[in-house]
Amino acid sequence: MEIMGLAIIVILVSLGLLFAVRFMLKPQSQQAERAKAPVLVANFLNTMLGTTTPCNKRTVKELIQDCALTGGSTMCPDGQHSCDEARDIMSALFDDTLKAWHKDYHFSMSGATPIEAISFGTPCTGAREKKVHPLPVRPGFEISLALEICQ
Amino acid sequence: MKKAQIQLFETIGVLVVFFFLLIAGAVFYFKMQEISIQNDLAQQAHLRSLQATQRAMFLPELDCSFIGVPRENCFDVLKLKAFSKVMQDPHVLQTYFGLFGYASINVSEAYPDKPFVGWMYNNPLDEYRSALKSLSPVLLYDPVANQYAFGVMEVVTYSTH
Repeated sequence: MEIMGLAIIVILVSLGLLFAVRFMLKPQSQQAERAKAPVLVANFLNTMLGTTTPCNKRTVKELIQDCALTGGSTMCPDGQHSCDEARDIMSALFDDTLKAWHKDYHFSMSGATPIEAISFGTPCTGAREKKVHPLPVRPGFEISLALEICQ
Repeated sequence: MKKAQIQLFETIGVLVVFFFLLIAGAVFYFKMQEISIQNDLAQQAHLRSLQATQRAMFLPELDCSFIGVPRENCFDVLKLKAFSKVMQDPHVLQTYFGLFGYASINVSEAYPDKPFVGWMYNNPLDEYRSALKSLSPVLLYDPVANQYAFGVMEVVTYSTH
């Protein structure tokens, strides 16, 4: 009978310890971090696409559209084509921001062969926040930009 | 007499074990409560940081509006410079305390030239226990050159717990 009592006490103490360990290992402020990630992804894409480049004062969005439509026929003052110019500028932006902030990310584009060669970062393996941004090039021709930030 | 003594020791032993478990349980419970409160406070601090970031992002004083329509995620650099100057007045700073609380908001240009760095709001706590930093990309519009630069808004919120 005493053994039974002792066994119950041991089980209760073990359950308590298990609960304590789970509670302590629970990551803090995950909810707030989850709320921040979609804002960061959306803001990053909007800001990047709207940035004016030294290539004839065109925005990154216009360079991408030109690259998708013509394969890079626009020549920039520094001698680069729109595809190379867009790649270099986006690479600099990712390096100065997400990479510098130690955030893992993956950016890719789809819908046209010339832009599909441009991608940055490595695809996330676990949880991620992803935004796909459709970008019309001309009526009936649309490309997609996808940015995911790993969590 | 000997049997009674043994029973007494047994009772005392049971009571010792009982009180030991009771105290251990109480300590464990209060520790859990403390951790739970700390988690809640951290969560609130994160939400305050998010709130301050969103408020700064949509501040009408700094927006880039065209024919009355504001552009999303954009600050007018000229307005920002003027705002930064006005914010040096403690009375004006106090006006925005209700919006941002104890925080520092800084905007810098990341591309193309990185020349612009300006304080939008600077009201840090002298003694704080935690500071949360939040970074957000933002467009910086130069109305003179009619160009947009890639900027980063850094919001640091301070708390005493």
